[in-house]
Amino acid sequence: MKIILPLVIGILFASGTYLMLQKNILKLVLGLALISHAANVILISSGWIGPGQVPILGKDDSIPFVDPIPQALVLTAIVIGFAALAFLLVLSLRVYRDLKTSNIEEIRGQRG
Amino acid sequence: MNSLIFRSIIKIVSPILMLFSVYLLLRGHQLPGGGFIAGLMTSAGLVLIYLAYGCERFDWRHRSRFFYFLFTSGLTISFLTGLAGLFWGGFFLKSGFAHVHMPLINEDWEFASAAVFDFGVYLVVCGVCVSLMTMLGEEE
Amino acid sequence: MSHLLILPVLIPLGTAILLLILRFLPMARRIVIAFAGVSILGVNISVLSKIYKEGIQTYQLGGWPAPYGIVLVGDLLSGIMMMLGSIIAVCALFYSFGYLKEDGQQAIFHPLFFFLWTGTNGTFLTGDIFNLFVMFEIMLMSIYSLLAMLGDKKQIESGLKLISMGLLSSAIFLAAVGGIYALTGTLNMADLAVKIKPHAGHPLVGAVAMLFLGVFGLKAAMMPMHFWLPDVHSSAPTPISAMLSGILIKVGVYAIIRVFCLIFVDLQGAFQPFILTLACITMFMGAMGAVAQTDLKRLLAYSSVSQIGYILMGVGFFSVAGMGAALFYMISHGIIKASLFMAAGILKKMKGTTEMSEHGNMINISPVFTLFFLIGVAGLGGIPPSSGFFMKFQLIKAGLDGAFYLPVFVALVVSLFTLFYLAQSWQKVCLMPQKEEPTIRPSFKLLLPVGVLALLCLVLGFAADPIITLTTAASQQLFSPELYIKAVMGSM
Repeated sequence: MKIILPLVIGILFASGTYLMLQKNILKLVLGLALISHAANVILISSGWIGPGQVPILGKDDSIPFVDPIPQALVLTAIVIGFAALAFLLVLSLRVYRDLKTSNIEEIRGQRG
Repeated sequence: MNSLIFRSIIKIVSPILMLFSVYLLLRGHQLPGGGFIAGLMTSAGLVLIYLAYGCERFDWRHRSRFFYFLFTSGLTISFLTGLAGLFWGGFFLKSGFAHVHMPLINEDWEFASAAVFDFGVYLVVCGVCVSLMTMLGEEE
Repeated sequence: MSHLLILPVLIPLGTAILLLILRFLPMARRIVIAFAGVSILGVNISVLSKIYKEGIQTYQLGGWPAPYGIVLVGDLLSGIMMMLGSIIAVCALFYSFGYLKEDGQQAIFHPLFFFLWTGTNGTFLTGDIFNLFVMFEIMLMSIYSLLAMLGDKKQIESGLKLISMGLLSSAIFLAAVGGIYALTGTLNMADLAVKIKPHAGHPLVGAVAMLFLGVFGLKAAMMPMHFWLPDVHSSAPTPISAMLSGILIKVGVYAIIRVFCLIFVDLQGAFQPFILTLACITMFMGAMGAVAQTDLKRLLAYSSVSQIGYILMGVGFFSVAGMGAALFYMISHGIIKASLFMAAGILKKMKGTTEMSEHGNMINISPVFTLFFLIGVAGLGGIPPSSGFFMKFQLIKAGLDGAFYLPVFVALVVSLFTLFYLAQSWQKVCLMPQKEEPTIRPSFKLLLPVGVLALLCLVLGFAADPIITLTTAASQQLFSPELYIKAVMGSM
């Protein structure tokens, strides 16, 4: 398990970066989505990497606890990432409709 | 997307989704679930109906005021819950709970003020998701 | 416990929701906006004076005590930044009534503007590193929407740029938060400052600090990451441009100061050459970019990049004098740049463009406008009666005291360029003869906020002493982080 999460994070970051470098605007959106998911996985994996203390009041050390904080954080991060990605998707659709192109190079050329 | 199979399945699936989303909303305080996930699930059900039937039964595109009303009221509910914490609990977002005896199932049900907040979140997510999907699905 | 500290977040949030409800009642909206603007300004004044008199204030959200719950912490730095934010925001609000179309645009603009205000105030107040992320996102999300809904149709590309930048930076932010949480098991900034001490020298600490510098540098438009700023600031609707350049890029600087003066105190020395180098490059390249511009708003946007370099230089000295100078610089630059952007917006309103070659002869059309614009130019250029002189003087004095001769030299050279491009733009817009008379004159509604900000710039110049006392006190407070830690953790 300890090796799987870093691998997943690495693959997500790499493929996200690759997609972001493409010219199609939809691929940019997908690349950003993958990168934000990679960040979420980093956050969830931070719960058990280090010697951090689980912040639970009055906990009994004999019972193992899962650290609840990274899960709460990741939920918030997912919600925020979801909203931003949805917005980006709508915006790129509008760009496509207004400018009739999905090529980023051509969109850049439209500056007034 | 308007094949007969898809439409028939949607007729069965989306009520189940809606019901399940209410279940998720209600159990959200102690167990996995909550306003955001329930809202997503409800809007998934609505979006499936939209995908299967388009605008022939219900004109989604000209209902934007309804979705506006949904997320505005959701925001208001959540904000007022936070304010109620300020006025009665002493802190903004202070949460309280009470045990309510349910007559039919004869059990004590824990009612937390956070559930009201969650309900607001549920409305916001529903309104935003559905209006977003109809915006994306709009033809030129 | 007093609820004063939550009000700067609560009032804008409530107002935004109220404005959404009152969407179809323009008159009621106007009353709500006027009332809310004045009350937020008043609350921020009382917050600042309370912090100044009684020391650092804290507030526990939901009543959960410090390291477990989310706390709001108001120290002098946050008080000053909130105060600056509200002055600019009130002027931008007033300006928006004259600038935007009556109903359609204003009904969209005002709720989002108050969400933006919620985000900035929340960012300055929060004492929790993850909550900082959330507040950043509230701020960014409202800017995305404002840009996409009100920006120029042709320049929608800038909106795409901003959102991509925002998503990327939030991913990096999350990675950094994950790293620091794995190391220490806490997110409260004061608690972090204590718990990170035993890990000094751990490689993860340096990596996380670097990630934070990258993220906040991206938001503050530090040099290698400045590419998004000129497009976004110049294509946004003018009241938002004023907010963006006046306060939002300073949010990034604020976060750098907060993180490096509280959590990564041990790394200050290691990061100093790095920050100073980047600051010098930012200053220089921003000014070079500004010299080449023909569009007034783009010129001002590049100038913002350059001025951020100055502020970062003051931060990079990591001395009480340098930090105080940087704070004074932020206040003064925020006010001046907001007034200049609003002046550019008046030009845009007159002819539909901010190309400088299209404008001219403003001295005869509107002498008042010319005067306000001149005050702004003198302010950024650093001519004595305005506050701009003191901001540069203090910064350079702090640099010489710390024997940072090279950055000071660069700053002096760049300030010559600053004076050059600003004076040139003023001359082009106000003195050069003009081919065709504009049909629209600058209206009083638009000139008033510009005038108020220009007047403030002069007041800051003539009465710099109390402000300098305040910023020095803030900077002393920043360099004794134990005060902050005690205020937060003491309330356990």
